[in-house]
Amino acid sequence: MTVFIIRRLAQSLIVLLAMSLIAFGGVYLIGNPIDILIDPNATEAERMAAEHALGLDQPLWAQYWHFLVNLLHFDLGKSFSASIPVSDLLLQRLPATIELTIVAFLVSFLGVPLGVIAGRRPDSLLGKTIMAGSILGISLPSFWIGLMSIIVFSVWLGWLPSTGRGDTITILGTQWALFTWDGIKHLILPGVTLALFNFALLIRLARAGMQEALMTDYVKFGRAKGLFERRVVWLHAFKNILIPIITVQGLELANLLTGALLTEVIFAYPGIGRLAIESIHFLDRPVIVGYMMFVVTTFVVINLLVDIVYGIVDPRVRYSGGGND
Amino acid sequence: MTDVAGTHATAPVADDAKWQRVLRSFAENKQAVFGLALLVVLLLAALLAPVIAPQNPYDLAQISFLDAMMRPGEASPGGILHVLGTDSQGRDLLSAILYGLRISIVVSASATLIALVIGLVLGLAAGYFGGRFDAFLMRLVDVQISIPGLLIALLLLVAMGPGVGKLVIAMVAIYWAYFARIVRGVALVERKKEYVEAAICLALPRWRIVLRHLLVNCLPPVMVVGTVLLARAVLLEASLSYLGLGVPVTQPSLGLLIANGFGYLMSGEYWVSFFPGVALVMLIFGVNLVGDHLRDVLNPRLQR
Repeated sequence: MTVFIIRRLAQSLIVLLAMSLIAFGGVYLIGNPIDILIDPNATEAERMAAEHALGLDQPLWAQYWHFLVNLLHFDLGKSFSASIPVSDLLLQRLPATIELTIVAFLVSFLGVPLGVIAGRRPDSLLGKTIMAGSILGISLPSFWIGLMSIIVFSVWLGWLPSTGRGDTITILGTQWALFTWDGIKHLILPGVTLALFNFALLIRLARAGMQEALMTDYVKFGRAKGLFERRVVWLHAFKNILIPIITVQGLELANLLTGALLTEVIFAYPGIGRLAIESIHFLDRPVIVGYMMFVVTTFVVINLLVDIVYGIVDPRVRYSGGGND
Repeated sequence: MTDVAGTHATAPVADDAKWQRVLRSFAENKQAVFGLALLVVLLLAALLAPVIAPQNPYDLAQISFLDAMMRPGEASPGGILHVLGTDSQGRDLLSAILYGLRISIVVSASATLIALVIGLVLGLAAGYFGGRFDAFLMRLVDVQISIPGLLIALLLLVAMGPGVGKLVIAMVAIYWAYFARIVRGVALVERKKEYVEAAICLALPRWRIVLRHLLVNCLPPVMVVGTVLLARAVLLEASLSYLGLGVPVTQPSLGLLIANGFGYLMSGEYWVSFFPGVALVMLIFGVNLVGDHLRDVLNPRLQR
């Protein structure tokens, strides 16, 4: 087990290193940010001073080395446009994204009972409708659904706000909107929009799991024993379909984090995804790289945890060299 | 149904039967037929856009600012009936959607196809030759797949700048790995089977073994993965174009058309975003319906 964890850990580090190299290389190949940041009438000396202050006059490998060393200290450099450390900027925006992701994550779990219903009677009208709905749900572009929900619920009905985060309260130095009524109202549309894909995915997972579970011997035994059908389905079979669902959901949580980017842009929601898009338009390199490193690290950590948990549960994984093969 | 995938001694014959079975079961499934019909209609609409569109949305002589933001069903003074309304520049929305559909389809389909070919070649080579090349390629695939696709695309597009060709490159860079992984897996399994050993003993040329036996067996899973990725590619293209990082403004795809309508939503002028989105949903829905069924039919595990 230890060997397995060490090997997975090494693999994760390689991914992070590769990502840091790609992100740094990719982002630093684009135009000189000095052109955007500095007054076009600035003298050559002022320009050089600014370049020096931002460390842009050093060779690329030196900049990368510097970046890597700082990364190990959780120092992502300073934003070009906001002149504050990137880590502060990310931390400021992070609570918003966390709230959005968690709300979407929880909302999407409503798909599980629907999937169970569809799995019990796959050929009934209800089962077929749920399945067709789930294919539709997977096919709906979240950004378009976001726009349509704005027009219906904000413009026509006027029930829910369409932009921003609403009132927040400060807990432990960070701002949270989940604890104010106004904040919750602001979370509904983006949360549901972001949840849609995972919701549809969960319907499919639960349906497939239920269909398999209902063919097993323990279900037949439970029925033969005269247990209520409700108890057989929702207790015995249900417990067993949760295992594959939880595995997939670990990764899906990470996917929601990237998916939040589009949702945040549509709803002008001040999370890290919107920050990233703003930075791309302003060519604010440290922020772009910082965002990417943050998301990929989260991704890799969740991946690692899922694999380790899986390795503990299922010994076959340990010996096949990582859970990805 | 006998297990066709297991009887490889007579691979070619069995394959014919298999494809016939796939076609038959496909025709019996209403959802799959509906999805396919939807795709055919959309493809035809995109292909015939210059013929059936009421106006050429790129021809500045044909559009007029005076016709801007007309409601669906209104007719412009010039006599064109705008079934789906017009956008802020006075373009007929139906025409813009038909031309946008072309771009969406061309970009996502070509990206998926190129990724498929690259993945197929690399995956076959890795599966057949094994060794260091295989180990290296699979580590690369691991790294690639552990980074979210949207991030890779953002990064590459930020580095390369916008443009249709660059968008395709960025999408190929994401999707090749999925093809390579599945092809390598199948090739590795097939390579160890007796019929390949027999072929080697018969001193058949290598290319023949790889193309005639390994490749053919890789096709069913590649088709399943291909449709899944095609649907994702359409969605990714639309998302990137929506963010303004995809196609240029002069060649608006469906995603960019949706983005163009964003500014008018708040005043209740829904149609500029609504109708391109409907076209986009139909496209992805069609691909998913077909793909969903392909997966059920081609999945050897469900054939028992």
